[in-house]
Amino acid sequence: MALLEVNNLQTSFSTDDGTVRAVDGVSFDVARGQVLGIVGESGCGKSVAMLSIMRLLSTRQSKTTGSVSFEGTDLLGMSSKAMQQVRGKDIAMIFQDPMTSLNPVYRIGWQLAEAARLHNHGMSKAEALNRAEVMLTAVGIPSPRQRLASYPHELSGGMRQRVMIAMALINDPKLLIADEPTTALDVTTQAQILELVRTLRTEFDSAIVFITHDLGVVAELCDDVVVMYAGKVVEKATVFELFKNPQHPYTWGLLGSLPGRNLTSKRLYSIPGSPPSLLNPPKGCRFARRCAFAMDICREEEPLLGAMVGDPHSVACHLSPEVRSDKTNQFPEITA
Amino acid sequence: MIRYTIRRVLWGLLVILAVSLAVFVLFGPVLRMRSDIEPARLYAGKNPSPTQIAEVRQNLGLDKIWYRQYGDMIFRLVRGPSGDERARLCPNATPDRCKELVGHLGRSYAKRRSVDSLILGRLGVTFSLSLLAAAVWITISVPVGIISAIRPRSIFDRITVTGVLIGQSLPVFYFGLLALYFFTYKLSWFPQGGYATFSFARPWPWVSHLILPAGTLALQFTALYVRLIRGGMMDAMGEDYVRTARAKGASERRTIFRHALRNAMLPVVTIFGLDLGLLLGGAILTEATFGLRGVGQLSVDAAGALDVPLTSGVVLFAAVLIVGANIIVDLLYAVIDPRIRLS
Repeated sequence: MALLEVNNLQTSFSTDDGTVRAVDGVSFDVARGQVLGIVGESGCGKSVAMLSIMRLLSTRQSKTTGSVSFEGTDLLGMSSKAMQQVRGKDIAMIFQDPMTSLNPVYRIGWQLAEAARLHNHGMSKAEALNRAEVMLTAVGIPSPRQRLASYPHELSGGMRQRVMIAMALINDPKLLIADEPTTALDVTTQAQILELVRTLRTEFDSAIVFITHDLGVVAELCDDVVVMYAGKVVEKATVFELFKNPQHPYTWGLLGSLPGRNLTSKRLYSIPGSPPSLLNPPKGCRFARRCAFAMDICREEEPLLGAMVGDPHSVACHLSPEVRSDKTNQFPEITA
Repeated sequence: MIRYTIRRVLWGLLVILAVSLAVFVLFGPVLRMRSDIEPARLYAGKNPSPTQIAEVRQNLGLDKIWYRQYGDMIFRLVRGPSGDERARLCPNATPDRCKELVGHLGRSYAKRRSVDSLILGRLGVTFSLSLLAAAVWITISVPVGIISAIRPRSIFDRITVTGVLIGQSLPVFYFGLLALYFFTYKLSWFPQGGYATFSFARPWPWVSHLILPAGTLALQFTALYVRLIRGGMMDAMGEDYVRTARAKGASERRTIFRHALRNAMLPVVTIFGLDLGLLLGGAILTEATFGLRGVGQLSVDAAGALDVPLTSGVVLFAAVLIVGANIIVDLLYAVIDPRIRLS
């Protein structure tokens, strides 16, 4: 049994203009200790899917269906009291913007200790602060004792993200959901935070779901990858497979737009167009309008996520396996 | 923090000095530009002769050059009346008695008493009214604002928003008169205006005289504060750190009260301090509507009677309260919002 099993997750928001189906039938598994990357461009539903799993979306504005099973327990069906026990203890989450994710009016120590004490009844404040200090040391914050007394605004963005990571890991969660934790940071800090996640991964042995739109990060950090597009999963594979043998035209586009792959071309490739509106998604394949290989069937019938024969690599595309395996098709700078 | 405090206090003193100069110029030189307004005439009795007026001018020190007059005013503000002033204003009284008659703020032309004692005599009414009203509006607006914010578009919220609109649109003198008509004239629940001093043995007379005025005053502020707290809370509930608190496993209650509320209350504290300072300096409309003889009413009387020392005195008094409230708010703010301490 996988640690986390997400099946046919659907999240919709009701707006004045109608219902937006931000996550539309997403399924994936995360095994113990595994690092799963979820890739896709902004607005493809990565974050919403994670917030749905954590049940952090307002139930007044959104609706989540499907099933999310964590160690065999259904998260979507449990009481909100029980869910509070899961959050921060079994599943922890860190967010994109460390500048605003910490409460500005409380000291770092208070916020870390709160996370510890919420799930360890009877833990004294002093114990919690000691634990907080240990965690700050683990995430590489210099002079942790003094930092406990600091307020968030006294720390840089990178330091704050380290604090967020420390806070997430303070209760030894079985799963850490990292929602683009490096996006808001500058490049050198990004590298440091990634390095930190990599070391902590071995140290704490928790499974990680790492959301990013950066395939470079995926290559460095993850075991498996889920590629999302417009609220749906279009491709699922191991990292090695995805880079060696990508199957979906959207994935080809993403890989093609990575710098450094082809230094001779003057400009980076970019996928033409923009994702469809989820308020009124097009019939058939949602990527069809931007796809250079689109056929008539693509605009009529929605492709289902099907596993390729003999390996856990699956793709949702109508193209024949021969076309998909043809390397000349996979890298747009060659065909363009 | 100590340096910050000192800086704020010094800055406050500077502001008060500037206000005193403005008050002096406004009620001295500017007023005298109109020859038909002669404050000395008020002090000189009925149909005074030009000689009498000149004599009074000399006694009041109005014949001196303006900066000497201003200097006298500042000296008196700090040290009480000077020997020279005592000789001019109350030549027949003993020095102590004269100090009482003149005080730090000067002697009222119309009431022939020190402005200090006049203001002091009105403080009870104004402070009771303002503090009671403040207690009422805070007690109501904080919970209503919070509930409204965490259940947006609920029936409770819709009623609240409508109530806020009505409350803010009703002027004090209109709502006050309505309240007087129904509760005092029709139902005879409360006395018709006036004031009774507070006593622990019999608090009811005090309460009964203040319920309507304080309620009326509180109505407008409740509406304003509900809107303020509701808005602040709604913003705070949408902040990333609130999501972080939930992600940690904090209960909804804890998230609201420990994480969102404290942030939402920051601007409220500022505005509350300023409003209270303003009201303590005289709630003019409410006092007038309910016949309460407070500081606000005193300032209206003083301005109407062209009583220069009294008018300046009340204005200065209000300025001190507002500046004082500002300093307290700034210090309090530094305590509750750590980000302020740096700058």
